[in-house]
Amino acid sequence: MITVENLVKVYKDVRALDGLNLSIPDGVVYGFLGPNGAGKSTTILSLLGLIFPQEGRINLFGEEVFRDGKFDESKLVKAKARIGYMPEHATLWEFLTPLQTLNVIGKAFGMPKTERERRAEEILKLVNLWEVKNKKVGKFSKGMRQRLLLAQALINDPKLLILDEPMTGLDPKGIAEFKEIIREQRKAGKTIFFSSHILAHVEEVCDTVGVIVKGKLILEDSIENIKREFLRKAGYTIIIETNRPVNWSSAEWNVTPLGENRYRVVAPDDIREELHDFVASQGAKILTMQVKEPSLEEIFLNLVK
Amino acid sequence: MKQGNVTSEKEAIAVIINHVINMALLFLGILAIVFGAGAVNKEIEDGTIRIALSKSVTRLEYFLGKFLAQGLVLFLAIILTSAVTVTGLKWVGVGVGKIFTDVVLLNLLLLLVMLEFIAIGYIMSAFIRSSGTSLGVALAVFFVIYLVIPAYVDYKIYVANEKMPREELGKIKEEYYTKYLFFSPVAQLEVITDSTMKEVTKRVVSSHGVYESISYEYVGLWNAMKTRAVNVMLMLAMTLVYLGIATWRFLRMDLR
Repeated sequence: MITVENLVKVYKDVRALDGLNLSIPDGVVYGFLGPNGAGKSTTILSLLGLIFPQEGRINLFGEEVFRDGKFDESKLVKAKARIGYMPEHATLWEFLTPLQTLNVIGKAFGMPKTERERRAEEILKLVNLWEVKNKKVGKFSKGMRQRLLLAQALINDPKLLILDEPMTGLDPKGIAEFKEIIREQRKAGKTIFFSSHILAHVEEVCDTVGVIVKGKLILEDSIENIKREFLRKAGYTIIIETNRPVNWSSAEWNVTPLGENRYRVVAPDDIREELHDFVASQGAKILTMQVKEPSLEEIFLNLVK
Repeated sequence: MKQGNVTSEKEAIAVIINHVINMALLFLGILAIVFGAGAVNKEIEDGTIRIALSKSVTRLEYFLGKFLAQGLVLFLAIILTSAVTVTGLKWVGVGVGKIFTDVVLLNLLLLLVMLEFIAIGYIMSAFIRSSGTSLGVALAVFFVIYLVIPAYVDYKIYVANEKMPREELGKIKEEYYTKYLFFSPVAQLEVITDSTMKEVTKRVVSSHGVYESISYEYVGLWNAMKTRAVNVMLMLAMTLVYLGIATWRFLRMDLR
């Protein structure tokens, strides 16, 4: 769906993209993570031909739309017809209503009038803006504007949905609704490229995560694999509670007592079975065991460090 | 445009048209350059350009479409101005039928002037990132083009040709405006509208003797445009040059 090879973008003396490589297959929800200034928005703007990288290649839907500093305009326009894009910071035309906005954007895609009207109704109902379809956008709250931004991205029933920090400014209810919409879009077979710095959102809705730091992709994998790999490197942390004190002097692991018969055991691998055996060999019994899973945030912070 | 005492219906037409042109040039000219000055950078600041260009349109289509749409808005304003002109002429008793062709031609010339100002504004908008700065620069450029440089050229004409007869001075002005103010749509329009008035010298015999009376005759805008075709072409060419520069920049700029 998206293939980016060795993409380089330099702004004056800042190397925003430093040989970025990216490969996103069909039908996945891809979380694109990175700290501020890592190159997330630059990547997205490059994919859409809104900025000009100096080097590299971009392939969309199997067509090479960019190569070594030049976009193929006709291929890019064809590709954009199948893309829905929700920008991070954008104000829609304040003097238009949601219906008029979607009508204008539908026209830009060359959609016939009946199709535009049908899609506009469908999408506005989906994002809960149908009730205010005739209200001027200038009077909208931040959350309503975000939902309209999503609506305009969906009007052409895109195969690829590019969302740049989509949940910024939404209240918890709005976030929950937004996630639901993303899940529905995934079920409908769309590929979703989701850029965010709010890791909890990415963790909940994405299948695969790519982490970009200083214009380079430093990690790309499924969330499960990333966690497993992180645990492998940082060590498993297991909290156990036993029915009687245990002597850990012969254990190979790093053990810290936490209170009465409670211990934190850190090991390089998943040692739950060995732990049972060790405690049993001491004539004790494990009452509770808790494997402390790292959050994506911990992994992310560790990677960025 | 030359002015004098209103002694005939044709002169009345010329005087009213002259006033309307001046008003239209000042107010619509400012509006045109302001339109142009915020066309790209303001949309980048608001993010609307990223939404528009993420759809299946090319940069060129977007840019020229916007230019033409703004031109259309100004054309409607010009038509409104024409309605004022026609009302004014009716007020002094001139039938609309007599000036219909001139009103249409004048509208088209004013549209060309406005398109040239929009294109100048587009250059500011494409080269200056901040819409506020670009607006300030555009207004300064407008007053330099509209007032300062023409006043300087007029001064030069006067200084260089102080002792020249008035009718010769008019020809020199046309030459100077064409040569040194080719970039200014206002100056080119002035040369064309000046040519709508033809000087007529009559021998008058009275009880006091025989003397020459000079008056001006309105020859119509179409004749003036034919006489000053080079100035019409200059306006067209410069509009394309300004638009070309702005387009060249827009097609290469990062829209972030």
